[in-house]
Amino acid sequence: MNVKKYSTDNSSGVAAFWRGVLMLACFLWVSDARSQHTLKGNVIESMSRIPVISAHVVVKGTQNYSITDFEGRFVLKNLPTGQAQITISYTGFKTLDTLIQMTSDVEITLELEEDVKLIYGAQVSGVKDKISDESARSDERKAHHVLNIISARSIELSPDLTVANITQRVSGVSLERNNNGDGQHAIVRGMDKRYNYTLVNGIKIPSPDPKNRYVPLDIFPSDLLDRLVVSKALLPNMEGDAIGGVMDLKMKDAPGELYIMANIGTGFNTLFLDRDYQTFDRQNVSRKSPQQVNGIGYRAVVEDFPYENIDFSTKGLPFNSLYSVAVGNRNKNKKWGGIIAGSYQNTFRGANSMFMTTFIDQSTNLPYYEIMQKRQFSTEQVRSGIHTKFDYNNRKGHKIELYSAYVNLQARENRSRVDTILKIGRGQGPGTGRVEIRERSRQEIQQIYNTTLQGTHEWNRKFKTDWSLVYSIATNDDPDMAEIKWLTGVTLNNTTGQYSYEPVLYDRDFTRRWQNNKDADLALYWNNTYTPIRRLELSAGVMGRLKGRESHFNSFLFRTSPIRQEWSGQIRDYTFTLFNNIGTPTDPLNYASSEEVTALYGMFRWMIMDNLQAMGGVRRETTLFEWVSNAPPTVRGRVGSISYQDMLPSLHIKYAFLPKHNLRTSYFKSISRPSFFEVIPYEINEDDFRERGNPFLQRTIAHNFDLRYEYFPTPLDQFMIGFFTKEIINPIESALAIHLQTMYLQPNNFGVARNSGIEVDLTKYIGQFGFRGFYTYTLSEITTSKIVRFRDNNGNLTSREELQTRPLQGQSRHISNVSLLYKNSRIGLDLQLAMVYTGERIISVSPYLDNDIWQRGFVQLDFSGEKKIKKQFFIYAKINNLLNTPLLADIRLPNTFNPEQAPYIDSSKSVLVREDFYRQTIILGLKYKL
Amino acid sequence: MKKTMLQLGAIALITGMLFSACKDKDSDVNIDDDNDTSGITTITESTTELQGMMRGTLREGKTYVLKGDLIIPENEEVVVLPGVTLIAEKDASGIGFEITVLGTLVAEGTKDKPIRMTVPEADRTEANVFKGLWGGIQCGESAKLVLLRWVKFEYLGDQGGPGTPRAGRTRYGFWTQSSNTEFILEDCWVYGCKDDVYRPNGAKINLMRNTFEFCGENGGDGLNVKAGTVGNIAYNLFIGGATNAFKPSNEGSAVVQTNINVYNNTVLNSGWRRPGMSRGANINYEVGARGLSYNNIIVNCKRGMRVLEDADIPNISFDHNLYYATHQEMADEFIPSDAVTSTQSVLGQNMIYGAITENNPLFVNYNVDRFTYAEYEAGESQPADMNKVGSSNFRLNSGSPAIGKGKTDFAPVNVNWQYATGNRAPGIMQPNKDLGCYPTSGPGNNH
Repeated sequence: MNVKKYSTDNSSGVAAFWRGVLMLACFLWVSDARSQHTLKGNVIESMSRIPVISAHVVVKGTQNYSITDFEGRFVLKNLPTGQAQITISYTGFKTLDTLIQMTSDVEITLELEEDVKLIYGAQVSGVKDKISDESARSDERKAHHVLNIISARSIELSPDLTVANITQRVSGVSLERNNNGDGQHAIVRGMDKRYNYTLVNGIKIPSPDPKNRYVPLDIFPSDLLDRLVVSKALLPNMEGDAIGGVMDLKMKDAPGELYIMANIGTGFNTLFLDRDYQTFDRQNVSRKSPQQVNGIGYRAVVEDFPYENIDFSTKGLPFNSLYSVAVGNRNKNKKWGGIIAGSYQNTFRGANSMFMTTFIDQSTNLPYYEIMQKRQFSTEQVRSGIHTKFDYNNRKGHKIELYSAYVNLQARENRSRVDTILKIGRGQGPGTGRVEIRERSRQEIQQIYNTTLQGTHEWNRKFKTDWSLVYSIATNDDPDMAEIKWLTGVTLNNTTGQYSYEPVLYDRDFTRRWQNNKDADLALYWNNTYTPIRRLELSAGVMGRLKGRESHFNSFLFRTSPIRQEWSGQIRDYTFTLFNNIGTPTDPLNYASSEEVTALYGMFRWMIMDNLQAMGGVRRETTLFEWVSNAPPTVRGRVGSISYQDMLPSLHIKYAFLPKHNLRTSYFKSISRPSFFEVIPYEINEDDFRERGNPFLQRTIAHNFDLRYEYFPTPLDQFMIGFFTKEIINPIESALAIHLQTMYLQPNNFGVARNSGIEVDLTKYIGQFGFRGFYTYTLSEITTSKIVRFRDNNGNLTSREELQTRPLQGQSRHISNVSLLYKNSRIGLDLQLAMVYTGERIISVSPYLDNDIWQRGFVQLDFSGEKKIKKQFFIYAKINNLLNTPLLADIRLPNTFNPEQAPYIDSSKSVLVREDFYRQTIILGLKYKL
Repeated sequence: MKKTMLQLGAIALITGMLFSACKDKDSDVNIDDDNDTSGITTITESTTELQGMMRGTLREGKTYVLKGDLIIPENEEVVVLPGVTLIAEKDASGIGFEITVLGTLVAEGTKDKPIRMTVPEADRTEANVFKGLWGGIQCGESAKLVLLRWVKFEYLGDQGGPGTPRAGRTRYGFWTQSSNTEFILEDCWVYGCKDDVYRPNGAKINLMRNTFEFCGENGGDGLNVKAGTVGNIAYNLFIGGATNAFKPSNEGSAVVQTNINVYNNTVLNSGWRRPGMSRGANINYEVGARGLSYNNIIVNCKRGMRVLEDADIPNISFDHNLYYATHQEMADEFIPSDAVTSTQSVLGQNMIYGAITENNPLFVNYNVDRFTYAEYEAGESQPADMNKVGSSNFRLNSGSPAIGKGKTDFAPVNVNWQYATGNRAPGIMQPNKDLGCYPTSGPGNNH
């Protein structure tokens, strides 16, 4: 066997497009009498010798072509005897044009060279195709600290439509889901959402959440992303308030050449094949409450509240619609580049749910059945986003970028509930008693807007400066959530043995409420880097952010008038009066706050040896938080401020003890600030609970340690195993505390929590098949005070505090994600089967000892596929939740008080409190890519 | 070179600043302090209008006007002498003012010189009984003592006004929030209340010899007791409540168990203005509450006395109570059908009830059979007489089956009074051998 090797020729001057040279290393001749021959080969990168994936290999002047697979291999069949002119092209590389003598089957290795001019001519990331998985792996390998990257290509091929769902494909990340089973927040290494923050292009964005700092990740459509970077360790030049991790959403960048992408899709959720989708008319709903519209002194009247959004109707199977488009280009001299991308997703989901509310027995502290709620959700989510980026590069080391993004998520939800009261009033046995029916309409409009002006200046080879000026807004409108209630019941006629229904009457009360809040951030970042010698880089920088936040809440109580009204089938027959025409001005969610964070850092990067790098430094963050609340004068602390300062050192060492093998270790100190709301000294005095804010809450401080071994046998394959441990000082949890014979729910600091784990990450491609998976083992421990209800020695029912040690909320001991990939470049087919396993975890912490709600471990299976149908045209399919996996959650204590009230559930060991089914979501679409 | 120096300077400056204060600093918290006592006004001889933070004495026989919310600050006291009339006005939007007690309020009238807490004269009409024209007495957690004797309260309730603890929410006639607050209501009248008359979320209580009329527009209990409440309810006349007359429950945030004895009360025509299954039961124990209930007369209520399954059943006992009903639907519910087992388990052997019109208590001046069933169920169109005392007299004629049937060998709940001591001590009365609030011999309701 003769093997020919070709390599590129650097002789330039040959006119533009076809460039490249081949060099022969060796080749094999096998004499063959046939006139048709096969050319097999693999394409590699000339410098790194690693395979190039998805390169086009074309027999010039014919339709005969091939695309390289995961190992860079291709096959061209049916080549006639004689010279074959082969062209190999791939973005970011010089196109290779070569002649191969075909007298028999040939096997060759071809080398592609990076297009150096193109790279230095514009910004590197702008041209070099970062969308590929390969470059993602390469960046992970080169990164200075512990991070994971999901490439645009992976995102495109994944079953996921939102950024939230993508995060579950990252090692060590699991999801917290919304009512419809769709991902919403990321739990990183067992650390709840409050311990993570979110960036867009490296800039922290404000949250639309009414109380908290964290950003819901389902607001971002995935197709605006260039890549998702999850950092699990912090450098001194990163903001210091993450203990779990940082999600950085890198949006599509201005390309090196004309780029056009368009996508259209549709589909449905199979839930609505079996039941109707329930909806309401939201057109007359005012975004703002009557007092916000008419002024604080306004007295609302019944006419301010439309009937439309309490008038429910059903419709048949609703179809999803998905559109996205992106256009980018760069001018001839490569100085100007820009991209504009938009996405619109209108999706319908739902849930069929059994939700059991429980009461904690006052003598045994065991849970027992209170209300069995049958819930049906019908939710429409309209997710839209647009982002633009323009850059100007004077090609002398100075660059200015202007970036703007706007995302908007509107959720319109109907919740239908039929509640059977199990706790009381069942004197006639199971099957009888009070039944309450509720219909709720709600819409939530969350918006995030960010604009960033950024400059990068390479003054000379030693000095670099970059700066960013940022303005961001996040808003949340949750207007006129209205819930109508009816009462009925079932009675047993003792003599006839017949069950009969009571008439369906309107309950006395119903409520409608408005909630909205707005954050506005103004921030400045300024970073300087100095490279005195090749092996040393020193940097220092400043960051300042001023945040203003306001929150409004207004709830209105309506009373049925006349008192007794039967359901007529027509909501417009229903009449009621408004009880509180002033709304709820002193509700604690009426507050304004501001926060100033200023930070300074100094950082070094030192290549101690060619294969040993140390990076580290220290960051100082100073926080000043101020608030004004609208609480009544009887509440202390309506106005106040909190200030503190933290020094956050870190050190990151990377040691490539063998080529392709890395050993990393890092230490960093970080913080997690209390939420905006929980430090404001509010008071809630309800009959069944009392809640207090806590201005004396300390921010949480964590010491984080990481050790990781990485092996990259090929550009796509990787194996990583890592260990992490965190010591978390003053974690914040809400707990009931007894003070002056009364229990208050109040956020508090609880000693020291610990969280450690092992992460294993494996990616392996064999020919057309790929395997990607991670497994994370996490153990955490926190001790908080809980309430125990018991009967004292005098025979009285009372409560005491007791300490309980448990895992952190949301932390699963085992989480795993396995994706099987099939790629047939020849026919342009990509298939992916993605499995996520989330082990049992606490989804709700109870204030009562041992009454936490545990979600059972579950497997979710998703499928996606893409097929090229014509040049530049692709069809794709995504199916989520193939197995219709239910969410099941239990309180791990028996019900000894009234198990007979729900005879269909075994509560002798634990009480099932939630069972949700979401069914499959199916999406089919068409895509165009240039 | 210049740029280089500038750059180096910048890096050096930042690093310098970084290390100039290189320490963690603990949270420095500043919050405003509303416990400033300089704003408290002392009531004098010349005071006629009340509003804001005040302390002092309301002079005998004088009339005062509530021009804003009156706040009795922590550790301060307002004393109301006999014969005082307090007229509560409204804010610009029509919400009546209230008295917020963070300290102590003592209002002691006498039989001859009762105190009246009401609204401007023009508003005192029967059509307004459920309008909720002023805010009554709302206690904060620091309140020590509210002592009310011989006081007429009229037209209570509605939404809380702006700036009050219950702003925009249901305001009860009286509200306490702590197991350490002492609340004494004796020989008082409540005429008209929109929702619950008294909602103790904890208190030490003594509610004796009061008369309640027109309570609860379309819901609401006379005494809606939540967790942390201990004391006695006795010798009260309660007519025409919307839902329950007395409802002890241990639901809530207190670690003190609700323990209430309810005895020698007379309850009529209650439970009819709150539609819906299981609603309305005159005397009702639930959610871990305990206590004894003896010697009560229950007439024409939606159902009999009730114990729900989740009450502290081993520590509840009902006996020596008399039920009377005009209509079969009422009699069918003497043992409430939605809580048969739990209710029966606390009933003693001496309960008095039978068929309709059986066991007529023989009130001196009241026709127990005057209303049709439809009138009871008429909601807001109920005849007004169903819900007020008027010229009726609920004392017992001789021959009444309620005479001599009472239980006397039990003690009222023992309460450890801290503030209601000396001449402020509650007037706790022992049970009587006659049923109801007007025993034929011995002390009872004084109205």
